[in-house]
Amino acid sequence: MNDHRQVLPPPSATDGVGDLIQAERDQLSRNEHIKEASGYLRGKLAEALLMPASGAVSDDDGQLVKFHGMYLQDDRDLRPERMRKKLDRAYAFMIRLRIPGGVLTSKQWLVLDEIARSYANGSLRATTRQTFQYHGVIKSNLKRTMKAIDGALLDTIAACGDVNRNVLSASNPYQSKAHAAAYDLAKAISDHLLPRTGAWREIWLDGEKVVGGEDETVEPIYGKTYLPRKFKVVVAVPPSNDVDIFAHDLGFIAILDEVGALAGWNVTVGGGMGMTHGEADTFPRTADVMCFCEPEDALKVAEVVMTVQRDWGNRKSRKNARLKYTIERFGLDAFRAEVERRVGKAFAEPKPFRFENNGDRYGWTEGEDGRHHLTLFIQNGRVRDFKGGPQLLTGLRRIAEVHQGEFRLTANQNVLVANVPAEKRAEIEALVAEHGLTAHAGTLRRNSMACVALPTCGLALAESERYLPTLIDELEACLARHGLAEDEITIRMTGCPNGCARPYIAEIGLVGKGPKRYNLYLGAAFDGSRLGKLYAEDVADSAIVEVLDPLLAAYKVQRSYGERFGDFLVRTGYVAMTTNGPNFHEQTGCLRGLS
Amino acid sequence: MSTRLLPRHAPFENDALAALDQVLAVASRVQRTWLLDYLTAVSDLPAQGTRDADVSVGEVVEYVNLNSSRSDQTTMHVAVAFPDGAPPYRPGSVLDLIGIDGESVPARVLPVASSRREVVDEVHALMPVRTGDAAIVERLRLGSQVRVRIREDAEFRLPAALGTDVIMIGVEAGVAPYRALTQERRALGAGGRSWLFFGGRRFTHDFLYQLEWQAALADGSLTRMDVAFSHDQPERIGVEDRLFERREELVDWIENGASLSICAAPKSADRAHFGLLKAVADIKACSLEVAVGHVADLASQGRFNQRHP
Ligand SMILES: Cc1cc2nc3c(=O)[nH]c(=O)nc-3n(C[C@H](O)[C@H](O)[C@H](O)COP(=O)(O)OP(=O)(O)OC[C@H]3O[C@@H](n4cnc5c(N)ncnc54)[C@H](O)[C@@H]3O)c2cc1C
Ligand code: HEM
Ligand code: SF4
Repeated sequence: MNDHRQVLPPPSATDGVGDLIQAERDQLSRNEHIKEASGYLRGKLAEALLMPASGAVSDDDGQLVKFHGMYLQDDRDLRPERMRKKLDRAYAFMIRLRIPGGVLTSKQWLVLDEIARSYANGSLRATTRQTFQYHGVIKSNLKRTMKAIDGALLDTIAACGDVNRNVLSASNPYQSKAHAAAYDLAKAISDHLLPRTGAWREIWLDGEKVVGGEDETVEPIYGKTYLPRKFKVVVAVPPSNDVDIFAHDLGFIAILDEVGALAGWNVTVGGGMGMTHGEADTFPRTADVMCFCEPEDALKVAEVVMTVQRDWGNRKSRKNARLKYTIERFGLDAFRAEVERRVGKAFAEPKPFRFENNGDRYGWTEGEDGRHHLTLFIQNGRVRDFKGGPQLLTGLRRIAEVHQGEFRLTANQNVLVANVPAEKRAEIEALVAEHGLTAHAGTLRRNSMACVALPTCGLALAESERYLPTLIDELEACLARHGLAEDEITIRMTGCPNGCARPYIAEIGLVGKGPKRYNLYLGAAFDGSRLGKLYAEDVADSAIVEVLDPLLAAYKVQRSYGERFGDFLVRTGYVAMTTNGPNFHEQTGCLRGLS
Repeated sequence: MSTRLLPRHAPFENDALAALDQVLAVASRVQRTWLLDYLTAVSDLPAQGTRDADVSVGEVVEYVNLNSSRSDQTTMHVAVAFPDGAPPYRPGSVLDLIGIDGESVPARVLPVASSRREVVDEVHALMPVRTGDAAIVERLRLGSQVRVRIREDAEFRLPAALGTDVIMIGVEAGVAPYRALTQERRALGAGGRSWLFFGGRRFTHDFLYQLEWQAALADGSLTRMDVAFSHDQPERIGVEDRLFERREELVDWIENGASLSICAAPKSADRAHFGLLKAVADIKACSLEVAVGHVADLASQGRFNQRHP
């Protein structure tokens, strides 16, 4: 068991590491004090729930609820009118579930569906972390919602906050065996790195209170102040990079032997998306492939990578606290040496692997075991009934009522109806057709993602989920004009630079700058292994198609066989190549005249 | 204590009040409560429970729907300013809207939602918009000149004594008199405790005067608040459920001399009344019939009152 009080790196680490961290510890960020004083994530939450005139919690408790899987938000569309009407902001909570690997039974699905209709805004929002979130749950319904979630044997612990978040596992069922191993590892990591504090049960389920508070042994891995920042883990099975492994703090890539059995894992560290406009010392970064480990060491490696980050991560500036910055500061070698020291063995170099894409394969597939799987495209992950359009919520509920297998949420915000026996397939297909679940979605749309943004996300600078579908209508018309309608190009939009929909590794990345204005990033790799580059800054939404049009025209006539859009733009020199985070902000703009 | 004690347009001698104000400024809390009770008793306005109270003309200076734009209800907050000071009125009064911009309208009785001691030159009233209100809704607007009569409601007298505790149970626009009473008690620095039960359809969209209740809780002019929103969850929850949940403290307040008041549309008022009876019956371990007797006793002591907005 790890001793969480041992925070400073030992003398064996690189010179100066200890001094730097010591200096940061003297100027801790506000959140560090909140965590420290929270009594293992309790704060004053129980009291706040009893105050009926307000739909909010205090600022400090607002930081703590994240660890319980929720964000305090308000409907920003309604802000202007409410003051006048003598109403407080329209506060409500976003609640995110913890669903390791995104796997749900039909029974669980039905409970989640009912919660969406009873307490949330009538939708389930599939996220890029293979989970669902609810929007619009008001304070007085929080406990009921949590109890219903608990009734489905699920929880929301650590779905947000400075802890290990929901662990992703490859969804696309090509090789069933490697797939199962990936899920097992994801689940094991999720269980092992789960915060142990009783606060969640105590506050939300009226669980028993620990008299005198919990003592220091309650969090053997995290300690009192948890991590400097969020920590995200994924498990991938090549050739699909559907989990976007390079965008995460820690990743495991399945390496198979000649007979398709699991030989071990390549370990990736230091990926992450979030950055801040105008601050060059913040940047997205793709993960490094650090080493290869044996299957039996994987769980220990996960724990140790996290605890080195716990001890070495920057606790003074939250903007520079993710593992990606720790690795930039101390170097991959020093980091690896410390991981090996703590695990107690040296690791082999990474084994070769190859990814082909980071999207989902839509439609039906058949696994090695003869089971069938249907991947449904869900635009921006929003599962709800659209007036005059697809009845996603109802349709999937009807499927859950007859489906004996399971559901899987993908890291691309889509839904997989998994493990369908051959004889059940027709019945499910009929339901898919009846509710329009695969109704019209062109190629670009199926390769698109948008974050939530307005009206609920307090950080949004521009629209995202509500606008991207319209932009895609226009772009698809443009692609059709150039004869590119069937070409797969990834496009992602977010309302701010935090990058929730991972826009920096999309071939077309759009990041909100202000109302109706976006930064346009181009040149990322289709398989998610290379970041894009800022191509045009502060583009009006109405000008986006215009900016892309000549590039698409050039792509159509000048590309080499099978060449991807992002690769093409880099090869022909329209944009500079981003090799990794530190040069993300260099050589920006269009580098070549357009005819 | 910074509460303004002197209304600018006092209905009685300013000198006497100024003197009292000075006394109050140095009085202890207990003395203050006593003095203020006395003050309220002596300054009680002449009863105006008749229909022939004076008609006044004022200007609409605030006209806003307090329900959110996503609500299926409309409750207009109407603030009328009078150039020469508002006519005298007490919490619990009603406002008859008689004419708009020189034309008469089918008379509409609105519950007053303000205290003259706090808003001085104005009268605020609530107008829950129902079918049949079209004539008024179409004509009334910011800046309208309105002819109104402000009068007391003979059947609805809110507790005037400031030292007593009050339990106010208001549903939707029925919360109006309690806003008036809370303003009044705040302006006078009331010593007694106050407890508001508010009911509506949805927390987010129908929480009338939400920001003001938050402020009142923060500054102590409201001691406690409980809310019930019927459409926020699958089952219906009303103020009657909250009354029953809080029955122990509720009966404790009553036994300590608290006055009770219910203001709600007939159906909601009946439900709230029944909730109160159940609460009393449960705590006193008596039958509902006996509880009815207890509440009737309160009414005969002037400590229980019920009305429809
Ligand atoms: C233009 C188009 C739009 C589609 N839109 C949706 C949608 O919005 N939501 C959704 O869930 N499914 C969508 N699909 C997938 C579609 O639902 C399935 O192809 C369908 O269920 C038929 O499955 P199958 O098993 O008979 O075909 P399969 O035998 O599985 O597929 C036949 C061929 O089509 C390819 N293919 C399958 N799906 C796609 C795809 N999405 N795009 C490109 N090639 C594909 C396969 O790789 C294979 O080569 C779309 C497919 C196409 C071609
Ligand atoms: C709606 C309210 C949301 C809020 C307030 C929010 C907040 C944030 C913040 C502050 C960051 C930056 C973190 C950092 O730089 O370290 C972030 C990153 C991220 N969020 Fe969210 N988020 C929200 C919704 C979502 C949703 C709906 C998804 C998935 C569909 C999501 C997935 C992500 C991802 C993938 C990142 C990038 C993480 C990285 O840097 O690696 N978030 N979010
Ligand atoms: S990317 Fe920004 S705007 Fe979009 S959900 Fe995340 S924090 Fe909100």
